[in-house]
Amino acid sequence: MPESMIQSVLKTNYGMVKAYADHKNDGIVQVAFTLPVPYARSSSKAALELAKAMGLVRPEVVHCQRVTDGYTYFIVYAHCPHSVDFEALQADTPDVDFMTQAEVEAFSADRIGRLIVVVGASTGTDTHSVGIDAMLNLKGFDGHSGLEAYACFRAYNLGSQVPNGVLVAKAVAVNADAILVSQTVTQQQLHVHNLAELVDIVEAEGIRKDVLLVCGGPRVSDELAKELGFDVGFSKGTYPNHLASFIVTELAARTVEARRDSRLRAAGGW
Amino acid sequence: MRSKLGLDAGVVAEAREAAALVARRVSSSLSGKSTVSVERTVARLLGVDDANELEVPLPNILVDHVRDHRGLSHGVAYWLGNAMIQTGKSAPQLARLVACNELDLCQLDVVAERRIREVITLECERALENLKDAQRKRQEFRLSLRESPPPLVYVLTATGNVYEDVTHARAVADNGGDIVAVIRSTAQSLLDYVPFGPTTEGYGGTFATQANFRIMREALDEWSASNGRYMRLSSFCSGLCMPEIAAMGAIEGLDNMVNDALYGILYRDINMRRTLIDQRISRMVNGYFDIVINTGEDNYLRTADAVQAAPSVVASQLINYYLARESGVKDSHIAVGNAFEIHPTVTNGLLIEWAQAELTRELFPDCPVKFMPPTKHMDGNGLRTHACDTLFNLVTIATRQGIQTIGVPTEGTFTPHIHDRVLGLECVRYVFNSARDLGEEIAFRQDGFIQSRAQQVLRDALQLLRYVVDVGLFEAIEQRTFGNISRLVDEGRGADGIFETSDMYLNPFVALMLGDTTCQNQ
Amino acid sequence: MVAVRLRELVSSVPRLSLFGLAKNTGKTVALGATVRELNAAGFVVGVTSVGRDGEATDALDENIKKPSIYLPAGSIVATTAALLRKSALSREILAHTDFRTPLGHVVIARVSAAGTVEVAGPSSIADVRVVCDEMTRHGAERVVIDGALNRKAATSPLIADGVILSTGAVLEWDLEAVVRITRDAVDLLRLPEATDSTLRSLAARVRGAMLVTGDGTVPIESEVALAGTPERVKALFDAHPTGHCIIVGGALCESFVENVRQAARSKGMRFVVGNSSKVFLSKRGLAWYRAQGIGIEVLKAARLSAITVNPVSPLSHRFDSRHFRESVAAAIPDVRVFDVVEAC
Repeated sequence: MPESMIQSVLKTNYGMVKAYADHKNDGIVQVAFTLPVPYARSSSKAALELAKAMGLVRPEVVHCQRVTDGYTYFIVYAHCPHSVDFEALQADTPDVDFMTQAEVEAFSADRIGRLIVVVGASTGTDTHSVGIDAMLNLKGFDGHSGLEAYACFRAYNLGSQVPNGVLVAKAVAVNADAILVSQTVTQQQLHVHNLAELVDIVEAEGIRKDVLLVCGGPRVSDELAKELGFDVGFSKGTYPNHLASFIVTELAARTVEARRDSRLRAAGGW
Repeated sequence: MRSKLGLDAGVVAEAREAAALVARRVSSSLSGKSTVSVERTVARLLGVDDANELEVPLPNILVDHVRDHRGLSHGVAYWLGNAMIQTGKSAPQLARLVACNELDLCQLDVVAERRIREVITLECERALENLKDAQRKRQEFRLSLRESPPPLVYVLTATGNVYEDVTHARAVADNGGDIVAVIRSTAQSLLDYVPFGPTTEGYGGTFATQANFRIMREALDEWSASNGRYMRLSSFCSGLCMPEIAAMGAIEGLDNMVNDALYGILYRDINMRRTLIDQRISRMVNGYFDIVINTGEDNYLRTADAVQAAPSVVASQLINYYLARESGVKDSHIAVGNAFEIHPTVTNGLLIEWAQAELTRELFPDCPVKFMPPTKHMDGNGLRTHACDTLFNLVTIATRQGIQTIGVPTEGTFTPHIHDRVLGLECVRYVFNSARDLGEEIAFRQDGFIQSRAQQVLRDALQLLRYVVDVGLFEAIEQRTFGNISRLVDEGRGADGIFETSDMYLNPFVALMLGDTTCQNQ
Repeated sequence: MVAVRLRELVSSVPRLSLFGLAKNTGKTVALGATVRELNAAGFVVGVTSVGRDGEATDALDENIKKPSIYLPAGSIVATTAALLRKSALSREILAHTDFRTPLGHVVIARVSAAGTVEVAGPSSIADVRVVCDEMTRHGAERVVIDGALNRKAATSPLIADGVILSTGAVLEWDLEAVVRITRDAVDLLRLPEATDSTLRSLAARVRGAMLVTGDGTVPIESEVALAGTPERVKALFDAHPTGHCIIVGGALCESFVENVRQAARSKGMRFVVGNSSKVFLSKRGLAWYRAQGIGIEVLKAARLSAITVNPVSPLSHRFDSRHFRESVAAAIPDVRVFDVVEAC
């Protein structure tokens, strides 16, 4: 799906785009923020200056109100002169559209058609199970249910302080489609060693191509994850449905390729 | 008072009886058992606080110490009482000696059980009396100030940093909030200890620690004194440390506590026996110190469909109410939960919400009832959330709820920012003021949509309660009765923290807190 | 000259991989130097990686600038089409592969003008090997594989004939400690090949793991090897007291080694593993286990071609380059040590 969508997007030739309010390229944006300044005559000036520092042009404070002593809230409208090259962005990385829980369920039923098995843990000496619980447990996080609540997933949460070997053994035992690792503690680069070791154990066990490797944590970026050989990394602000969207989209893409590969092989075209 | 909803008094009475029976059976099935967190609560009420250099709290060290020496079935009070007699030291002093490995509580010579009982009971009485004194002073302080008429406006803060929470709390107070609740760091409920000291890093909330309680309490008292209106403080007695947090709340003068074992069972996979034993003691502490408890029925509506699950909410409210009564909590301090969680696209969703909110009021006329805002279906579109919150506020004021947790426009986006809470409060103020006496003006059409809906929900709740009476609460939970989630009685976290009490078991706090009134239940 | 020696060392290795002990040990700089030396020696170089590397800034700290990978004109590279486009280098696509990476499919290309590029090869070792074969087929005379950060898999003799190991001041404040960590890592990398032909033939066929006893072999579930409790491992030895060697087909984790050490007590144990990239010891060094009677051998040994040191820990401290090199060389015999910056 993403590949063909990207193709159609490219054909439309978006080129450089600006924010839109009621005319193409008017660049009008709204920003709202609180400043730790008293509610006074001069405080709006601070808001305008900040808007200018953001690179906004002709800012206008349309609303300002006292929050508490020493804090004031502003709503600012302004022109944003910047534009983005949408076309180039599309070409950079294969994109994954974020879906809601219901959309993930529907997509999975349609494109995968079986239970997706996910095994997760906070590994090594990390005692924080917060991240992995937020992603996997029913209750989820901020009102977004974890994968346990999805009909299309079978989620195993091994908790915290799980040795990498134990996590991989479980993944093998339940024939996992994805392994999910959470790392919260990042002192002395502990997380980097630990994450790298997991990937290497998966490799040593000869199952690297059979599982999606996903890692997450407040200080784990997608860039770092990929450098370490994971398929994706999720940082702060990730909800379970983002993770779910990635897993189902990627699995569906792999399923399509596997089918094509086996056809090719059958036809002697490999 | 005549029922606005035309409820059948016979159905109401039968539902109450069934719920009371369920609660009694739960209590009796748990008698003869205690938990590590209950024992840590005993230690805390006796003044044990602080942590060692590895940040292990002393109550944990103390209870683990007794447990390692296989002495826990007598209760930690037994060993402390004996050690007090043998050494003449206080509970906090003893805990410190144990933490430094300078004392083995269970190796001391043991005096007669009767003597231990006398000494430790006196200690417990003294501890309770000191806390009661502080509570009376707080009550005087509160009565000397103005308070808002109900619904009391309950606002969350959740920055992760207790000092930032103070700033948010001031903004809440400045904008008309009445109760500040500091959301706990995600999954604190799974920790089998209470972290120690002020904390400035949390995930989705701020750790409930005694120091954090104190910092927030002082800030709110300061605001109250200078603005002439009393600000209440709330936290969360749920998870593996339910009773300990209740004790900390009593010590630091909290006014409200979310107190719900079912939340932990269903959403944190905590073992049901463990947490129901914990809840019993936790509510006892809350009840004794006049802390208003909030039950968490609103949570079911986040995992089950709000229209379908309405009868389970009513059934749970009734069970929770009687469980609280069993622990000695007064009606005026039991705020059963309800929430405005019907999907915004449901036709006549507002009428269904109205029926449910009115039904809760009529079933619990003397309870404050805590009404929760829409969250489940709220998304990044804050203006839509704000529109939904406006209707929620209208139902709240029109049905005279006791406590309302406010809706915040960015509810579905992230942990709301300071000004988002202010916008939420502004909307509450507008609607409450604009429709202040609307409820008095409204009568529902006989057998109309709202009456029929309420009557149907009550009948279905009674059905459900009859079923729970038949199979018992534990089996009902296994069968997905609440929140559409199944949990098994022998599974879940913290089961290893339950133990059988011996004939020698001592916990004088229970009898002291329940007084004469509930001794017949023992 | 230092640089000439590096050239001689790398020229004789058909496929070379780079392995860094941590971020900022200078692996990417070492890779640049290697590619340049090979090019100067007249070889057509093919470059790929295990996973992604070569971005402009460090993934851990944006304030640290990272050198990207410089390819001489005529080099061959295996990376994703999107990253090639981003590099804007003029290139000729030689082959499309079916290997998916998080950044798209891997393609093989020849760059017609020199320039820098981000390299993201396949994430599995089997696929990296195929990609290397492909580059060779398209004319690469020497292949350089950038091992992703901390990833041992890149040192596997299945893909590399030689390894350049990068170490640096970033590992620790104390030079002695850095030398110790480096020596332990090299020890592990240079695990000796098993010579016993019976064991070798058993190991070639093993699936999961296997205990060799006085009178035959006993299969061990791979779950026990990866995640077995001390009790389960002990039960195994109680049932088979003559067990003296364990052959592990997959990963050998430290917890298993430790459980075996305790179960076997005084009599010691020999492990045979595929290669050193499958051995995971982080708590204790090989020497410690050796002293406890625990030996580890491999079917195929990795070859260490050189060590590079980076005396600078970015935004922190630095060591004296010469002293650092000499200390490493004194602790680790039979290998040349270069200062990565001086060598360039």
